[in-house]
Order: sequence, then structure tokens, then C-alpha cells
Amino acid sequence: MTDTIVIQPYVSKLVIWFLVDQEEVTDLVDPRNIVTDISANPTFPLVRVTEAPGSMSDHRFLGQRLVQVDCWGPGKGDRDAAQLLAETCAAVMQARFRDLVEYRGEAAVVTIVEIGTARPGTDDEFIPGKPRSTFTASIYATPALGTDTGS
Amino acid sequence: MSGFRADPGMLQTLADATVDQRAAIAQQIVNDVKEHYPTAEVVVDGDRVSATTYGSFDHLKEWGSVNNPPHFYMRMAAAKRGRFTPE
Repeated sequence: MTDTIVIQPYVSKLVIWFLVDQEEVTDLVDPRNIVTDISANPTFPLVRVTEAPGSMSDHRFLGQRLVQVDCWGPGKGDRDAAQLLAETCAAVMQARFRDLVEYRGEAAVVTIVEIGTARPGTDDEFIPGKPRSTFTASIYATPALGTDTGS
Repeated sequence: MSGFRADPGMLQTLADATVDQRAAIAQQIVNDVKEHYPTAEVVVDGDRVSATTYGSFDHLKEWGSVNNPPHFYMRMAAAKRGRFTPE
């Protein structure tokens, strides 16, 4: 009998480190504004990454995560900037967030990444409403066994 | 020698033939989210089947805002009951 345990990767944290490392993204947003939790007094442009569980294989190795990426532009009515930011995040994830993904102590083997359409919307918490573009990603990942992430 | 020639209407035939089965899956999704979205229901429109909700604040629960994180209730239910692919 073995007592070996396998820890699932923290995918949204990995997505954030990945986005922080993408020049096309950081040309549009300060890397410090790519977050999981928004501060009380946020500055814009802003990217929020939120993760929810999807399905999990019987032996708890291959897991699906749903990741929502929200993008707000710099100004009160800057719909174009919000959409460009979301579309850029979606494009780099579609192109590069696969196979062994390893950034800053987080690692996972991404087997499938499916990115939905970046959807222009309005965040009604603001008066007037502030443009926000959002997309959902479905990410199937396994732990990167044998990878020394230094964490 | 054999060959296969796809019926040009095959997708429509499949769509028509699976309405009841897809409606049953949509009902499972509705059951899963009913606690959070009381107005959720299955909508069948021709060969299109959906789990739909009408609550005024349901979009805030599902998608969040700058002050609230998204809760993914509908999408998590879809992932649980089938193969969810974001569109």
C-alpha cells in the first residue's frame, strides 16, 4: 500500500502567472492588475480570473476547471479597450496555455483548453454601467508529476 | 468496395431525434440550479433545448461584477451533467 498523494494544480493561479508573463497582455494592463480578488479601490484596466470546479476523473487525476476571465477597460465607457483586453487574454491562452505549463512555482499538464467567445457586456455596479468583456475557459489539467516547481 | 455518403440532413435528423433526451439533461441542470435560480426552467423551441433563468439578479450571481465574484452555478451544472464547452 502506498501513501502517495497527488495534489491538484491551482489552475487560476497558474493562469494569472501565465497572463503576467505574456507581453501582448501586459502591453494592455499593468501586471499588478491581473488578480483573483479585487481590492477595495481597484485601478483600471483590470483583469480578474475566477475558477470553479468542473468534472473530475474517477481516480482524481484529470480535472476540469471552469475559469472566467473578466476584463475592464481604463475609462468609464471604454468598451473597445475592455474587449481588446479580453480577446488578447483569450488568444494567448488558446495558443500557449497547453502541454506542460509552468510559471513561478505553479505547474500543470494542460491536456485540453477550450476558450469561449469574449463577450462584451456591462458591469452595472457602476453608474453609469462600465463596459466589461468576459470569457469562460474550460481547462482539463493533471498535476505535473516529476516536475520540481520549487514550491 | 464500400463507401459512405453522408445524408445532408443528418444533423437535423439527429437534432429532431434527440429533443426529449436533451430536454431531460436540461431538466437535471435546472434541478441543480433551482436553489440559486428559482425561475430556472427548460425551454424547448423547435429542435433547440436550453436551461433558462429569468431572475433579475441571476446574471449577477452567474457572472459576477466588480464587487461580487461569479458563482458559475449554471455552468457548473452543465459541466456536471454533460460535456460543457464554453461558447
